[in-house]
Amino acid sequence: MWTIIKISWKNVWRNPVRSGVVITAVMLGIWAGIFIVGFTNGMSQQRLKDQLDTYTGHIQVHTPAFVSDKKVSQYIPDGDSVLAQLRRTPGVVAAIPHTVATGLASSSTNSYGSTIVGVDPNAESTVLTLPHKLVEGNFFTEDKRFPVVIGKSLAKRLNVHMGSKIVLTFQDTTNNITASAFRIVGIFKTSNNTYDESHVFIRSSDLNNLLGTHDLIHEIVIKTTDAHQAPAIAKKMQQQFPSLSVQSWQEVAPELRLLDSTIKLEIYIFMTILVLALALGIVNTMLMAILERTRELGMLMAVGMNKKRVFGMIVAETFFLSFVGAPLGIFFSWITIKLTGNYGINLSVVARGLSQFGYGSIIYPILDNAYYFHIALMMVAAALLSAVYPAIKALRLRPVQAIRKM
Amino acid sequence: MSIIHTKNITKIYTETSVPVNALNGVTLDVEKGEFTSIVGPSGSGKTTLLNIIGGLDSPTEGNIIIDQTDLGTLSDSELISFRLSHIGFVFQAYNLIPVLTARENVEFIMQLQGRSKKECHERAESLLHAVGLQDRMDNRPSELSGGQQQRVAVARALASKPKFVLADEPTANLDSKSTANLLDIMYRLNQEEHITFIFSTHDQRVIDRALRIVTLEDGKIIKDETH
Repeated sequence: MWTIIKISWKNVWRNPVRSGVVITAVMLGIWAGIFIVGFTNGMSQQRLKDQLDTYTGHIQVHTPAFVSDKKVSQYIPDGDSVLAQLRRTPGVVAAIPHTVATGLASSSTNSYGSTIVGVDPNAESTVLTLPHKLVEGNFFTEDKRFPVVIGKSLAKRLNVHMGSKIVLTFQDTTNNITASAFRIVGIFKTSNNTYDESHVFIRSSDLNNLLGTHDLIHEIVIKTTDAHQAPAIAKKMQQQFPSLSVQSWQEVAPELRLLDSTIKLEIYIFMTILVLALALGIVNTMLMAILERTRELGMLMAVGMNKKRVFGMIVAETFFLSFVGAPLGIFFSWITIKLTGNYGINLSVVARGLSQFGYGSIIYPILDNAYYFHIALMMVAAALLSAVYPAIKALRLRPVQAIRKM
Repeated sequence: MSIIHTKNITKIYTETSVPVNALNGVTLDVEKGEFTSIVGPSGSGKTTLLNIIGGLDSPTEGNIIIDQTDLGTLSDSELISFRLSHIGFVFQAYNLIPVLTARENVEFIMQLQGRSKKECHERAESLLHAVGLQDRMDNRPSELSGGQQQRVAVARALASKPKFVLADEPTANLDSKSTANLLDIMYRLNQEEHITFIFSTHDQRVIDRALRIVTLEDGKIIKDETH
């Protein structure tokens, strides 16, 4: 066995340029492939985390009617008590109440449809990071009359800036139109342009006053210890409050669930295609090597090298060709992903386009260690597959004809 | 008792549009310790006969019995094992493994037989010494002359302790000096160690040194002389 391995290793280096090209191609292919996978995964994970942390939360609680109609009258009965009970549920880190109205934000020059969210300024940042996404002003830290925080995109559309007044118009609980002027005290910017254009934040006390009510809660946003545990926790909450609609982030934002579940599949499909392409290159090289060494293989079989050993020699050569480059590629991609994952890749040149799709402009590639292991296994499988055909070709040689081959 | 016995060997190649009758009822016995040349013009069937004796090709008709074993009864894998243990081969184009040194080329055959590392090492050295290559043991084939490569091939053929050595036109690519040198070595091994050599050749220098000359023509033995 050792003799076969030794000869196989030496055979690989019989044509150093050709083997070098194949090994380099495998290394670069694996390197680039894994890095692209890490980059894509990083983008998706970032978007997922960003959206969960910024505005979706891990679990949302509404009345079933509010989920479909979004009417002010569809508030959570006895909201304060529900909120208190939810905060005590195991696995819950924090829960915040929102009062929500749908209306219009208008400036002197323009109007835009908006979701008006009434928040508790002190509690908001315990669940969502929106208060930290301000590019100007503050998140209701100054005691001013009717302050509002709007998105940068909306400010641009309305042609307003810090200190400007905008009018928010919406229906109250009796279906009458009510409106009030608010002064801009903060401008936020998330990685999702569409969200920034369509949401304005005011104090829930102000919104309740305008609605003619007191402490109305339409939405409770919950942060759990682990986002992936949210469905299980939501299920328990749903049992506790059967008349309410308790939705995990996967139900609130199905596109995020799709993103989360398909990214793994995409990674494997992409890497399978890449590894197969590399395997075809290796098959080609091995077929050329066998063609060149027909006479030698004939001699080996003539003098008594059995088929098992010939097969083993070709398989070992294929493995060497694959497994000099593959570990290097995996190692370099691991280093590259670690480095770029720490410092990020700045894509601010295309920030606007990325933002339209909810992606940030600095991408932090990331890939679980398990993927590296799986990719290494895929390479083993590909090397085995790519060895079979050349090895069968070699076994089909008839020594008497092969020896005479020029 | 002969170590090689061929009985009414016929070989017809049917791969071509017109079937070629390469051997036509060849019966031949070779005794242990012979130094035999199979001669004849091109196309007379020398190489075909050698391939059939070596178990590399099978006859269309007839039997080939080596050391009391009928090769026709062996499966492919049994035939490979049989060749490894019974037959040494020397080819016209040397056919050494280019990535191995002279010593490793000789050791390789013994390693296929599963012999110990020490035995492989010692026997390879001894054989290379016997063919006068004690100073070139660690050279690769590309660093050796044609004559030296063919001497390594002879050492390799003997490494497995075969019953006999088949050499297909072993001097075809050698100059006069290398040919004489190679023939001296093989003759000495034949005389001193009673190793059986069977050549196919049309090289007069080889024919002159042979102790038995079997002449083929159109696939038939037309003359069998012992000197």
